[in-house]
Amino acid sequence: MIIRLKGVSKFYGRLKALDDLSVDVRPGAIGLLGPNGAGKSTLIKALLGLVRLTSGDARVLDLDARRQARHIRQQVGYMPEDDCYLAGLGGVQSIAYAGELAGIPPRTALRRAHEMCDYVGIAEERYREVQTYSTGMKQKVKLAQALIHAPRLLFLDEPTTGLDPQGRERMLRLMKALPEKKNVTVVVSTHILQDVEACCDSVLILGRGKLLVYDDLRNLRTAVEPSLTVRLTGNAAVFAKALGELGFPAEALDDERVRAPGDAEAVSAVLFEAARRAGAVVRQIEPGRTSLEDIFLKAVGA
Amino acid sequence: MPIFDVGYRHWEGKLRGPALRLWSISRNGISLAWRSMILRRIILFGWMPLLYFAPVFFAIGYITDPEREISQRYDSGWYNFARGIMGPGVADRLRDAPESVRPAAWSLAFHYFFSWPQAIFTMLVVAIVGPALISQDVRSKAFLLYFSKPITLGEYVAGKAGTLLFFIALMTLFPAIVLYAVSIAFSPSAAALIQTSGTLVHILCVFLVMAVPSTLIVLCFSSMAKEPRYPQFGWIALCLFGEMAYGLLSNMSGVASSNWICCLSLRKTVSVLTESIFDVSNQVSALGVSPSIQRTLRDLDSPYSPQLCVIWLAAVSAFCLMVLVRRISAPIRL
Repeated sequence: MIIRLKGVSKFYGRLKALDDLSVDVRPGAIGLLGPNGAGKSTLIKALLGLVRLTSGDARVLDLDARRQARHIRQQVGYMPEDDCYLAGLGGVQSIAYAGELAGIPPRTALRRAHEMCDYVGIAEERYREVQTYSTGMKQKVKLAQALIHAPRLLFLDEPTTGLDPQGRERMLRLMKALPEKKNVTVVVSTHILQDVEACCDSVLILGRGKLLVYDDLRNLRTAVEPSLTVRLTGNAAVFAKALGELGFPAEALDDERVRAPGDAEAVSAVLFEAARRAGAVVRQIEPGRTSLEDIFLKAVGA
Repeated sequence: MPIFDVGYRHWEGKLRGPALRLWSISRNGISLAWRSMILRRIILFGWMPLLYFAPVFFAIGYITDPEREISQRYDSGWYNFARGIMGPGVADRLRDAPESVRPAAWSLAFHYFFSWPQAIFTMLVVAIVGPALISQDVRSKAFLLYFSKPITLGEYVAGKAGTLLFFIALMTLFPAIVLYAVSIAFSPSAAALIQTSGTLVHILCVFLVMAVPSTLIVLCFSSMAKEPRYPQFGWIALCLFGEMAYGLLSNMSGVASSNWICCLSLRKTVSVLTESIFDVSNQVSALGVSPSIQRTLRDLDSPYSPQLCVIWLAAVSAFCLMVLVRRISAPIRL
């Protein structure tokens, strides 16, 4: 297990930021999801030993988050959400400095900083001061700073915020490649569910400091009730209503798609009757696939 | 599209210990501060007093050399000059046992060296280097970048303080050591080295007395703002208004004899402690200097208590450290 939480709680006065969390997180790419104020950032800071837990036991890479915070931070990289940078330093200098702070000798840190710039896609701009960078460039610098000391576990807090489509694509590729090819576990805290769908193999959903869901994405998608998604020509809402009259309450996903929950065989038996009644033409039938958004909304009870 | 891309390579090398990481913070601060042309000029000017004090120490070495005839000629013009200016007590000592005057003369010279030129240059250097040290990190939210690495709060503060201590040492400790080395070099015999063996320790103590409170005060100011100009203004105001308040009260009958008014001025507080560390008053009074010289050195006869100054500086430093720690740890805890 890469992270092990047992009854972890964190109170800020009366506010419960984390409420009796218990979970064993496996290596890989993990999406950390939750609405605002769910406790995602507090959890990351607690795992880094930056905030003191009120109660419970947290272990990261088999190290105690309370007593061995320095050792944890030695093996963990953290890319903060905030627009933070080291003032007065150029891109490559600031990455090398982060390496030195992690204990890498200065020369090696500088050499590795250049490697990191190449890896995250910072070209000649590396010699410019970081405060002159665009948001996307600063994101790249933060990722390089988090990676320079070769961590075994990487926390990325909103990594794709402020990136252009190309930059986002590149960032997602990196996030996917690190666990697959470099054996680095990546925990991505984000609000962009597509990012998690694109690069994570498991999700951990928090809500009001409580653990709502932790499982593989594949399991989560198949675990929900069976359904069929029907693509049609005609009025989707009328078709959904007709299906409901036939005993299968359905919902129109958009103008041309309807999701009909229930056993596939039973639903398909009445589909064409419903289409006839609605004056629609069925163009495609496929097994229902639950999106991460569905899983998330269901988990947080929205 | 790269034609060759190594990609991400895992690195497994030997990591350095916490002390060297702390030095990385200090070194980074030093190199950033060194970019300032004004700072470099002030440092250059800060070494100028050596041009004045080095000849003074050379003269002390020359006069207090028992081998030289100058101090042995009872009826020489020099003797009469010394007798007229410094009084018969000092002149007679210079004639009979010149080397016995040396420690007092050195202490006095070092006291003035630290209390005036170097104290002022130190305040200027602190005003330039200190304010940006933490305020820039507050503005750029860099705390998370620091503390996500294996750096503790204490190491961060020590690293930042290291930058300032380096520049204060450049203004006080290093020139004083150079001055001491010059004095020893121009001394007539190795006896001078033995006679003034404690001087290096005294110099180090004075450096700490000057550097530690100044560093903590300015770092505390720096942690309270996002813009360096506010802590800079705070520091200059503290030094300037403190000196003015002390100057006013020390000339006001009724209050002038109070032993606490020196605490209003950081420079004067440090000066009182410098005097105490070098034991200037006792050494000078043991020589039996003339009343005119005593009037010139009236600062040495001040009513101020070194103990009170120590307590005051310790209290201010502790308070500033407390505020500093709270200000730095607050954004991380949230």
